[in-house]
Amino acid sequence: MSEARSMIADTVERLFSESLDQEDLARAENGVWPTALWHAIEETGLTRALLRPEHGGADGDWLDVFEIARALGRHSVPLPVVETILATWLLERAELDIPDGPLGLVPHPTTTTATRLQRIPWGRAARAYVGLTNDGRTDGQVVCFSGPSPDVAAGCNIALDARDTVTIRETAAVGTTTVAPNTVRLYGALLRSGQMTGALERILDQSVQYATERVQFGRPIGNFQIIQQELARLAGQVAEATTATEIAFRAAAEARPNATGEIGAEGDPAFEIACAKVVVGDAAELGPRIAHQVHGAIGFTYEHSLHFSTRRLWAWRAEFGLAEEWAADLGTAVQHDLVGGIWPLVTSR
Amino acid sequence: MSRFRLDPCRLPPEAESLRGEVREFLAKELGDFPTWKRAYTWMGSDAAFSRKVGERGWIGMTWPEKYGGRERSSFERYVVLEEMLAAGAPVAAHWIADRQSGPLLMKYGTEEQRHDILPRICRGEAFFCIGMSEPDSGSDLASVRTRADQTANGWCINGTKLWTSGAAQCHYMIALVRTTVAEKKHQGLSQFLVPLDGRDGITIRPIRDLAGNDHFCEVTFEDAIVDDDALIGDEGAGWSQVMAELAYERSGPERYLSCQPLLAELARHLGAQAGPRERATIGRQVAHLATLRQMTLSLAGLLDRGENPALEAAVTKDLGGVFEQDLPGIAQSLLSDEPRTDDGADDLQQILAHLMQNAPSFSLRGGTREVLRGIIARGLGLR
Repeated sequence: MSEARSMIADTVERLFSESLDQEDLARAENGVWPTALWHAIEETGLTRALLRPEHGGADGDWLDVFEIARALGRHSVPLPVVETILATWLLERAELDIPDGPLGLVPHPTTTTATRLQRIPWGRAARAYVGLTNDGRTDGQVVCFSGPSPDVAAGCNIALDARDTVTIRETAAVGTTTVAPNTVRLYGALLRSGQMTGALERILDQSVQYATERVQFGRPIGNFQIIQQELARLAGQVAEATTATEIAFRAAAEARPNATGEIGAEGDPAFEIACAKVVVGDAAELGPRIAHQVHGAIGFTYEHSLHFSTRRLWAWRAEFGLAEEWAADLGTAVQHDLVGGIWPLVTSR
Repeated sequence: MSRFRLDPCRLPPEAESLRGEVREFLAKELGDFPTWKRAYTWMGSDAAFSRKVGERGWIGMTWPEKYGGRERSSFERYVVLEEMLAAGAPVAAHWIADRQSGPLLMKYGTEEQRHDILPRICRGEAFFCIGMSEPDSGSDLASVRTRADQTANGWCINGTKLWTSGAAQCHYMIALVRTTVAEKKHQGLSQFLVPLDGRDGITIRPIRDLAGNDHFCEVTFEDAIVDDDALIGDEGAGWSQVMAELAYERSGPERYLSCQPLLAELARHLGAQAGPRERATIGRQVAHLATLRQMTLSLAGLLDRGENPALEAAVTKDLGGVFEQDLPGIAQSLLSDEPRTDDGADDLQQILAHLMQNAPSFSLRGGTREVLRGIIARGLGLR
C-alpha cells in the first residue's frame, strides 16, 4: 500500500472512530443529520478525493477512495459520502460547477427536464442532484439539478439511511462531455462493494471479539471447535470480498480515460467491478448469517450494535445491481464469446 | 487493517510473456489428448508428457543451474503451473517433486543427493510421492507411528503409509516417521528420503477409489533398510520441516482449478443460446474464479518475498476447495444429461462423471477443510 493511501486509511479510521458512536447512529436513524461529522468529512477533503487541486481536490485515485469507502462501511457512517465522491467526479469530468455540501447521486438514468428522482440517498439534504441520461439520444450526459428540492418525500432503506423521492421542476445543467452511460451503475457498484467490505470486516471483528468474551458451558464460546469453524468461514468470506474489491478499485485507478464500461475490454474496470459486486454480494448473504449465529439472541436486539452493519449489508447488496445481475452480465460476455473464453479472460486481467 | 496479507500482486512482464509459449506447447502436445481426460488435471499422470515438460525446462525451473534448474523467477513458474492446470494437462508424475520434494531436498538434502536427484527431477525422470498419512494418522498427522531405527546397516523402517498418491509410479517417497518416542507427539519426528526401487521390505498396493481409479496407494514397510544419509535435515526436526512443506503444498493454483476443464466445457456446451439462469450461473463462477486467482497470485507474491503464507494459503485453499467442490453440482443443475462414462457418453458427461465422483476428495487432500479452518481460527486468535 502506498504511503499516501495508508495515511488516508489512518485518517479516516481515526475520524470515524472518534466522532461516531452508537447513539449518533441511532439519532441519524431518527432523521438527525450529523452536522459536525459532515463538516469534518468535507474539511478533510474526502468528498473531493478524486478531484484536481484547482477544484479543491486531493488529486487522489480510486485506491485512495477504497480506503475511504471501506472505513465508511466499517463505521456505518450515515451520510452520502461515497455518493458525493462519485457526483463531484462526474461534475468535474463534465466541466460543470461543483457545489459544496452533500450531493444527491441519481442511481437510475434520468432526463434533463422536470422529473421525479427515486431513491436518492439523503435527497432531502442534497445541494444538487447528479445523474446520467440514457434516453437513446444523449446517452451518458451528466446532468445536474440544483437542490435541495422543496418537494421531497422522505424514504429510507432497511438500515434507515435516507432514500428520498425528489420532485424536480427545473431544467438541469448539462455537461459538455459524455461518459459511458453505465458509469453511475458501475462506479456505484464499486463504491458499495468498498463499503460492504468494511462492513464485513466489522462483523468479523465483532464476532471474534464476542466469541472470546461470551462464556457458556464454563468457557468462552470461541473455544468450541464449531464456533471456530464458523468464524473461519466468515473470515474466508471477508478475505475473498476484500481481494475482489481491492482488485476492482485498482482496475478503476488504472482505467483508460475513455473506457466504455464493457466487460473484458482492455483498460476497462467493468469486469473487475462486476466480479467484486458478485463476490461481495455473496459474502453479504453468508457473512451476516454467521455473525448473527455466533452472537446469539443479543445480536438480534436493537441494543447491540451488530445490526448497524448487517442491515446495511442487506440494503447495499441490492443497490447498483444485485450479485445475480452482475453475474448475468459476466455470463453474457462469456457466453457470447465477447471475451475469448473464460480462462483467457481471467488471465488477461 | 486487514487480518490477512493478501495484497494484490501483478505478474511481471517476463512471466506474462511465457504464457504464450506454454499455451503453444500445450496446444501441440495435447492436440489429440481426449477432452474428458483433462478432467483428471493434476491427478492425471503421463511420464512421457512430464519428460517433454522437463525438456522445455519447466520442471524445477526456479532452481540453480548446477542442480539442473533454469533460475527462472517464481512468477514464471506460477504461469507455467496455472496454464498446465487450466488446460488439464497430465502433470501428476512430476507435480509433487516440482512443488515440494525438490525444494525440500534443496533446503535439507545432502550435496550428493542434490546433485544426484534434482537434475533428474528437472528432466522429468524422477517422481516423488508424499509419505505423510497413515491408517491411524490422518488429520492428526503428528500421531504417525511408522518408525525408523538406526542399525549397523542404516535406518530400518517399519510401518504403513496410506493414501500415497502415485506411489506405484514414483521413484522416491519422502516419509515422515518417528525416530524417537518423545513426550510430546510433535517431537521425535524425522523425514526420510526412501528410494522406491524394489528393495526388500517395501510393498506398494494401489487402492481403488470410488470412481474406479487407483492413483493412491498403501505403502508397507517391513524392516526396510535405507542408507544413513536418507535422513533429511535434522533428526527430530520433521514436524517443522513438514509444516514448511505443507505451505508449498497448499499455496498453489491447483487448489481452485480442479474443475476448470468442466467450467470451460460447460460454457462451450451452453454457448450463445444460454438463457438468463445459465448466464448468471456461469457469470457467478467466473467472478469467484477470477477472485480466487487473484488471491493465489497474492500467495505467489508472499512466497516470492520469502514470507511464510501458511495462514493466507489456508484461507485461499478453503475457499478454493468449496468453489471447485460446488462446480459439478452446479453444472449438473444446468444440464439435463446424466453423468456417464460408458459407451456413448460425450465429453461433457465424462468430465462431469469424473469430477462429480472426485469432488469429495477436494476438501480432504492436502489438509482437510476442518484442519484448514483450524489454522484460520488460530490466525483469528481463537486458539
